[in-house]
Amino acid sequence: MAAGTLYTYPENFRAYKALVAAQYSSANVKVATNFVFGETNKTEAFLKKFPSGKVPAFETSCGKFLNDSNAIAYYVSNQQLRGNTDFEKSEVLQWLGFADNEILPSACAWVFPILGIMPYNKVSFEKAKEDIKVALNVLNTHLRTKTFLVGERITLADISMACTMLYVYTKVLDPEFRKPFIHVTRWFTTVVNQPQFKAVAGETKLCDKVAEVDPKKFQQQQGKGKDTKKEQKKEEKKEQKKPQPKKEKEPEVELDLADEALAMEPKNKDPFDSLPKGTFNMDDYKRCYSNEDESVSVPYFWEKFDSENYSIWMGEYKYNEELSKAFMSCNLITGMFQRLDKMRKQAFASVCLFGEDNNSTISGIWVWRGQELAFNLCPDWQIDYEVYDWKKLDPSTEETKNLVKQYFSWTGTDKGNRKFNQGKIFK
Amino acid sequence: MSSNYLSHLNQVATFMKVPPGKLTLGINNVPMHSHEGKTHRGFLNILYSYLPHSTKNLAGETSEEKAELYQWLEYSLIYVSQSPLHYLSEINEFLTTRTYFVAQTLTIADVLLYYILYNVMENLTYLEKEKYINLSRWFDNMQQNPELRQKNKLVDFNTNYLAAISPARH
Repeated sequence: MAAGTLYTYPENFRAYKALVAAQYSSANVKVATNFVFGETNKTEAFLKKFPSGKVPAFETSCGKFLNDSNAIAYYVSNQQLRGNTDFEKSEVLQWLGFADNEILPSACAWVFPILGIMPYNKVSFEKAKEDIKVALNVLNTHLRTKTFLVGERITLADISMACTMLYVYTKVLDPEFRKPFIHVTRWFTTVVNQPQFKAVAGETKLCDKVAEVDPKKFQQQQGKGKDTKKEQKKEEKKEQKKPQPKKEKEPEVELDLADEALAMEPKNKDPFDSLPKGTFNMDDYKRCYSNEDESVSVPYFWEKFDSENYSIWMGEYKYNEELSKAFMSCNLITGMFQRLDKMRKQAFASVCLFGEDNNSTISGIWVWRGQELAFNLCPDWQIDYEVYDWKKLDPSTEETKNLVKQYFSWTGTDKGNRKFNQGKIFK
Repeated sequence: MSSNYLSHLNQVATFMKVPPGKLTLGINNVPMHSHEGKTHRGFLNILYSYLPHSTKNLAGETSEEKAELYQWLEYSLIYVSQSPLHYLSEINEFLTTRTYFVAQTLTIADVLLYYILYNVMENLTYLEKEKYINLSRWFDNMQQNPELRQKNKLVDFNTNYLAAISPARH
């Protein structure tokens, strides 16, 4: 009988496959107790056994190594779970493939933004819902005449499929959504309520209300990885302000999958398309700014600026007192620029850091198409903007002209008379 | 039906691997059971006297499940066993969202209903099996257990036959 040690982080739905299968087959599968995700699997000893460094990973009691959740689950299964005939075995494989290829990518694209593992992107988010519908339809049709996926008893196909669908069923498939898929729900409820399944995953409560995307969560999850004092502090502060409904234990693991799902999404439309184009040519101005001295580019800006269709904004960082090292503050600015990448075409900004280490402020002048705060045009842009105070500037006043000149030419001081330290241009 | 009482009790006892005891029909066709000096009267009483002796856990876990189970046994006995054909669509409807009658595992309700419905299911046409699709699915699941099926024949639920006449959507 199969026996060995399973390496995984807690509550990993992939590891559940093997653990539930072991419950059925009475295989002796121990979970490595001292495993720390992101540490243990980065050690040389671990990588020597499992070169990919991914979990779940399995070490048999006779010192052999297995990767991939399906392979491990298959190894610890008994004959009933694997399928009794060659044809049944193939059917089990068929559904394992279906779970991984048809369900998992869209399930991740839908649930991960909600858990904060992946940034929210409206297009891929909506597409995921449609894709799930298609896949559920196939399953529903199959399960109309079948109690379980393969044969008439629970097999690995049921276990794997239910594990893969655990997140969608508990987080996003509300009663309204799952209404047409009555047979899938019947099957899912039966599988997750088997004593063997409950022994591993506990009680599974089907979703009552769809969990919403919280952009802050993604920011927090991302912040964790960087491990800087400042970000941690900010995180704490935010958590105090707006306590999360439930702290998700899910670590930022599955990013490779998330990337995969992102790569699948179709090209986005420019959210600025809904606004009138105006006469100000952003590209021409950026070229001028890059090639000419500010003594030429700033007057050029005012000459061409179209105040009817474009607006100028001042953005001031809200948590200046938390800024420490200058290079870290600069990373904060460039990080925001990167996340706003799609906004570049219709926007220009000069964001400056004033002062020195442990006594500095961040503020910037932004120009974009339209009279409203541009971040509202696209949910993808709303990750950072809330940590800034936004003030619309009147282009006709002398004060604005001075500010524009100062920020665009990287000179002057901030309100507290701190000297200009570094500037970053968004173009 | 009353003549079937005893054979059903026998089948259930065999499935549960408990000695069926001496089964007879008393006054008004009430089943009587005597085993090791103890006597039970009435179908459900006899059935419940078997339960503690079985190694299979067929009696439900929580008290809600036990109550539901009793409800189904009574329903099977009083209504379904008298005129099964009338209850097929009701049972079919119920099974839309359920794999088993009570909770999420096999209980004595499934077992008894399999025996009660066997004759009816055996004689359904393919069209009727298609009409009671959820019932058929449940029944097919039940009969794949050799211990439960015993000497009964496998009822054919091959939907290909129907699909050949008129391609159904499922």
